[in-house]
Amino acid sequence: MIGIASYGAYIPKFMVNRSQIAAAWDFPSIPGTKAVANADEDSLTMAVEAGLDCLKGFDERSIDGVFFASTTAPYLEKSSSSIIAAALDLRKDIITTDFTNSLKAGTTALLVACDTIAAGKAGKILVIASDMRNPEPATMYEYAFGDAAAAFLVSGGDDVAIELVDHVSTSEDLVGPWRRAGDSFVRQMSGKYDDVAGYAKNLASAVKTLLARTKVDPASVTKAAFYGADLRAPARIGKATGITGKAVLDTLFMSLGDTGTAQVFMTLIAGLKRAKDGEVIVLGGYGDGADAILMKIAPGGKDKLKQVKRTRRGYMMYSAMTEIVSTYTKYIAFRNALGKEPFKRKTSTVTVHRDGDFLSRMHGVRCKTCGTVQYPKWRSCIEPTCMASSNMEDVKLAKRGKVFTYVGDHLEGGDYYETPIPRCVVDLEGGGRILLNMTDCNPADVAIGMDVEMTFRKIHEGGEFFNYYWKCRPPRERAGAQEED
Amino acid sequence: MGQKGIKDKIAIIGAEYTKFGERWDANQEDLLLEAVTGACKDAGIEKTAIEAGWVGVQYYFTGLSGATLADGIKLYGKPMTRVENYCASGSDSFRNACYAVAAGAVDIALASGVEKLMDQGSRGLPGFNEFGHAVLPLPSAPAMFSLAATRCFHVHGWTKEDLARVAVKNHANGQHHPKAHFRSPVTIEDVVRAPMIADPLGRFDCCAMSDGAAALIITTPELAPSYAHGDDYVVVKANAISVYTNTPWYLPSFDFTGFLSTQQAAAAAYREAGVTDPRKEISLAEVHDCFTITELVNCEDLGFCDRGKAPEALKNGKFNWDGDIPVNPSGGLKCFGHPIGATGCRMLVEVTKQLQGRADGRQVKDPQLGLTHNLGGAFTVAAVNILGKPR
Repeated sequence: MIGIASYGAYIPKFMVNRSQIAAAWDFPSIPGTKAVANADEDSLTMAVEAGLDCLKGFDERSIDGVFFASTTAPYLEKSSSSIIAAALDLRKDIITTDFTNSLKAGTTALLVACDTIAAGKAGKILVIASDMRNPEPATMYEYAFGDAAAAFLVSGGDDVAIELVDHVSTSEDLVGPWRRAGDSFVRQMSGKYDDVAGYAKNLASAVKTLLARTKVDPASVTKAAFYGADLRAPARIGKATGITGKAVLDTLFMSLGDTGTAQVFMTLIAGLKRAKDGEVIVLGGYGDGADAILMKIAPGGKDKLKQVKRTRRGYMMYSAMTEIVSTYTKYIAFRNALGKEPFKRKTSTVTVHRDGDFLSRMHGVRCKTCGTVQYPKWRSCIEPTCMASSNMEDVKLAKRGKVFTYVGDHLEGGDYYETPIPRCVVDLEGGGRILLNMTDCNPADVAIGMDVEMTFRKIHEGGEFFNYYWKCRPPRERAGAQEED
Repeated sequence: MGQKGIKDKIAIIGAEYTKFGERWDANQEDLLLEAVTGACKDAGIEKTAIEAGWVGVQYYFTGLSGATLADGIKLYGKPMTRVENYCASGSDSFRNACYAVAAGAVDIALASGVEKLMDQGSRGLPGFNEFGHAVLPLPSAPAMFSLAATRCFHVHGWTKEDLARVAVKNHANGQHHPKAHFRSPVTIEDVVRAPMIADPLGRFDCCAMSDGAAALIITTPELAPSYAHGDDYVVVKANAISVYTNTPWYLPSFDFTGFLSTQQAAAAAYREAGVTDPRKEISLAEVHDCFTITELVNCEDLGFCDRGKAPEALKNGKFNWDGDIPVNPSGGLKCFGHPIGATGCRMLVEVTKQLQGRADGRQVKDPQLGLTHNLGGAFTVAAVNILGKPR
């Protein structure tokens, strides 16, 4: 059996109220909010978060591949999936690749992962869809585009909870939304042609072909996650395919916005509650063609999902732990619409690679002489009472800890949008002490002894490349906000 | 300490520093020349009498190598070395000069320090995005010391007012010093209300960027009587430097309420000088008050008071100009600013003049032993010197 064994999601902490956008431009207001990534986030860092959520309880050494799907990969040349795999501390003998340039990249990556496993080339592949599409200010896209990431762990083992039955893909050469290399913003021809001749026609036809081929009665489908660039689009696909309106899942457009490649994944994750064994699920991705995927809750899948759910933040926990940005301007600064020079430090691709074990993988060492767990990977013990040389063993450090001391650093004011930057000395669970900048926080709330967790972020753009590293933040979880069973 | 040590082997026979401050009128060469010429004049020698020289400079942008000094004072063909050891660069320049004289390699050596910071136009110390690891966080200098302040507030219950009293005391002293950068008194309210630099340290908790230079001419006590200060030359009783980590935030056992480098350097210096009770024996101290929190922690690390009690001792006047142990009677870094390489030598010049009874600002009454203390980096490098009178 091949299918989904686990899921994970990530929603940035900050939300923009659409009324804030309306007020900024004196436009008519539309209801709802949308999720917006912080200035130090991008589709890659959000993907790491969703991947961490997805792999909880799974041995990361068992993962044979990472497929990253996004229309907004930070690099045009250089793979994001390899950076994500390192941040997730996966093995190096795995396949990593990026699925890009189409809004259906997520569903396509999912299909290819299933087929790769079916071909016997891998046992488990982590598929992460993440998007941070930059809307042109003062356009309808600014109301629509939201930022999020969602992940599925595709497995060929007996841990599969949602089984893949079949899939159909189509290709269509039609200029829908586009963004040329070098363009800052997504463009789209006005009018309904793309919606009718592209979206509705392709997606509905792929779904109908799939259901006919597998002899599945559309009325028996109880969960359908269709991509939709607007609130009502998925319902139109339901109607055209005979799938009941009740089965068509909420794309979360009103709360998160159109989250691009991540949308179909997030829709299913949010819609998985009260899943029953045998339930029939249809996923529909669209973008320059369509993907239709038929899935079924596997026998015993309900219990497996319940088990997974317990440790997932998923949609429920993350969406319960958000905050509306105080001003529209703050959101605009996140997207650097002010055109400020990015923060840069002197850096080196050599250093970043050589130190990857402790920069991305967050490994430290334990001194075999005195037992002290320490960071980064020193060759000799940092404790003045020991200082033993070359007697270290590698250890994987916990990504949680408590603040030992901190400072609100105002002095880097010119280099960041927001000061003070809380810089925290953190004692990690299980040993190791580290200095981390804090993000997604109110600096006034930082205190000695507070719990923090690590989050992978864009630190600076020295050397004209993205220098990623970890920061800390107040934990994005609280009791009582878990998903319902 | 080796078996021989350095006690009573070095005599300071010439000492001078420039006016510190925003020296828009001068470049680094001008500052060095001004200080070295002053020191030579004080010693009653021509610069050509200098046999070897050291200059403490931290930043690379004002020139590398011993030519920084040779070109600065136009004295070519001699052994000259540029010394860098963070904020203790000046103290380390002095240590190197002392070792050369103590070894008998030269009779007359120059120790100097300089830094030209104002031309960099930086808010806070420049270059923090240029050095250190490519990605690992590097706090600004005040942020490093704020990590200690936060911890001292938590452990000892210290407050912003406790920090402010350091600034108030040092400004009260510095207002009398003709060569200080800042010569105005401040109140506790001024300090507490100032804009934040690195919370909890505000503007008046931080020393300023400044330009300046300082120089000392040294020789042996045997030769000293034949120079201008033959009657009142000062001798080195101890000279210690201690270096710990650049990144104390990775040190699991570190508590951030005391600085290991200072404690270690102080222990070594007291041992060498034969000081058993610094509270009774040290007549005055110029300590590294780069930030107000630093001075409080220094006073404890140097053994001037019990752990956690520096604010109380300060409040009771113990560290005032006329107290038990005057700390920073010159006004300290708070009033002089901190041209990095110059500071260590500036303190040594200051204490020399105090011991000679010719201090520029507030002369401490009848001092016998004076201490200088320099602290650099993230509490990384500490230098402690003890100066006194000839045996």
